[in-house]
Amino acid sequence: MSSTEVLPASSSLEPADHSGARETFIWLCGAAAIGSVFHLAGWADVSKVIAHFPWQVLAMYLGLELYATMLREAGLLDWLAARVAMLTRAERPRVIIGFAAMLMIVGLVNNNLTTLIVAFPILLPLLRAMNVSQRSLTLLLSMLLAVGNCAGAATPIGDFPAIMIMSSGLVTFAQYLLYCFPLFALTAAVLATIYRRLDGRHGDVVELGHRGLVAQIVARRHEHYRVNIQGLKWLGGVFALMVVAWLVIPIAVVPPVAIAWGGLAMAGFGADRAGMRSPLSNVDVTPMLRMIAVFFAASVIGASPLIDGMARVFSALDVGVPLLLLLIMVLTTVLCALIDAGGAAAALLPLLVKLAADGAPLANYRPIAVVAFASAICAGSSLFLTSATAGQLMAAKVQSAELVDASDRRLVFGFRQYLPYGGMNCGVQLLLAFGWVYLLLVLA
Amino acid sequence: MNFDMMELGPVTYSEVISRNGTWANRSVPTGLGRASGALQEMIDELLPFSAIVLSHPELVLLEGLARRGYVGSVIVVVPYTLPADRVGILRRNVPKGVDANMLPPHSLSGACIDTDCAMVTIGLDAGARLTLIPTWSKATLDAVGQVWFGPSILLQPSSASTKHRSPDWCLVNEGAYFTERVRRTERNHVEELLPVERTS
Repeated sequence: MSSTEVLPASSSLEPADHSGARETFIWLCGAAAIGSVFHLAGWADVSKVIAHFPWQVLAMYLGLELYATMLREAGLLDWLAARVAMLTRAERPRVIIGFAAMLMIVGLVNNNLTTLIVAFPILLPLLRAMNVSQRSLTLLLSMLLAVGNCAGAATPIGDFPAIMIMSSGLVTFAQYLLYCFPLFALTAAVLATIYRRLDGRHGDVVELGHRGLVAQIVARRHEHYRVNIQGLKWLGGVFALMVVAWLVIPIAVVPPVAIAWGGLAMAGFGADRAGMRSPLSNVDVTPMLRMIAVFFAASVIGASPLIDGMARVFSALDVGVPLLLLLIMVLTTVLCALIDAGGAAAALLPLLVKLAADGAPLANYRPIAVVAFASAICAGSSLFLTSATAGQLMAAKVQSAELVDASDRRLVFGFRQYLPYGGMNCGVQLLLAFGWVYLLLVLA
Repeated sequence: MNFDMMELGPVTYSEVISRNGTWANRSVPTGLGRASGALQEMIDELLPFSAIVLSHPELVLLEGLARRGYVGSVIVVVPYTLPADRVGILRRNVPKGVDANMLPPHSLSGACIDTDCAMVTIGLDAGARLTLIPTWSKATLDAVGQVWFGPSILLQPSSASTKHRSPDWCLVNEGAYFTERVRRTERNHVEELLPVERTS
């Protein structure tokens, strides 16, 4: 008998994550309940809602997710996170800046959840070895959550709400980049600076020798990480082509989803030639199911007289464009924080579309209205730990990592720990966003 | 529980510590600081085997196998207590050229009757037929002991004091767990693979 026959070739050591599945089932139940109630009450015709369901947004999201999976399969994200961890030399200020920069850069083209999933297994052992205090841990993770949200909103392909906004046709790819990117890049930089200063003022005292040891352990742990250069070149080339196509080709000629799927197919062929595993063999349907549930509930609410009524009320308000945008921002922020960023954004997008339609108050300010809306989603999803999926993932990862401080006290990252920093994140984001919106209105 | 030592392996971890000049870590027996060089010499004894099962992760051993162009397959038994994220890191940090898989002990099911496949453990010679091995290696050896009929090799690159106290290490009787061993003698000479006297 061959020795390899008696031993299984592989076995998964990764425990199944049931928390995401449970949450998805709750969302599916909620969507079914909302659909039934609205249909029975005569507020929305569910068959019409399904007929007008924005499948292109889901299709584009799926395409970009699969592309991100290939990028990860090429080893780029792991390699990058490992390099950042090594470059930090276990110094907390460097950890803050390094991981914020990584999250911002990668998050521009990749949803922040995927980025965190890659970065956390590298970041958490580093933090554990550094014996960071509870306060330092909370500061770092609070900053990462907010910066991740900024990165997701900075480009039209960074996260689900951004994809949804671009697919609505309110702005083009180039307009979204032009109006939103500077704001979110600035916001991320301001937040990283604030957290760096907060951490510096109350930093832990870490011995130089211990820091050196941690840095060497980190270096050894990731020494053999490899990147599939051939695959990466191909993926990079395809992505560059996709961006050019999104920038140059009008939505009416070729819809963004067609470009995304064409790019995905090309990337798939190249990845296959480079010896990479197909992303289709490892597709997780959980986020897609959740998104369908969220979208369905939002579409039902959007088709009801509720949104029409709200649009009439907002249109009738004779408060001027700046104040109207501020009202929309506050409403969006509150709903995103309380319900769920993706769900609230999907429900409120029809309101924005109605207010920006020809003859409506925001008809001449569509890109600015989009900036206001996107920034409010970002601010709302940064307010509570439960507002965005990334926050819940962070809390679960910290719990399972069994982090302890120098006195062997268990570290936690939960709703209560995040709340004060969430308030600050939301406040800073809203303040900068309204300033930017006001500046754009003045210049318009 | 020292996750870093579990993940890198005791010899690799000790090497990093000794390079850093810190010997305050009580979880590491002092003898391990000199183990890396001798371990590299011992790898030659493993090359004839078509498959190697490491009862615990050990990065320097994998690097040594890669350097010598080992063509067989390597299975690294990872401790139950090592978090899944860290196992992922371990999996991605396999040196180029080595065909290595990470498995939990319970996956080593089925009897192994092929003498071409070796179970390898690194331990420290404690004298009187006793050896100091990582606790999770003992757990692995206990778990597969009933089904493992191939050679179980003990690599002893250094000696250690029996007084070492740490939950990560335990003293075992060599004859009860191993069939063969390679050790470094007092004259810094590495012996060939020699049978271990069996004890009940």
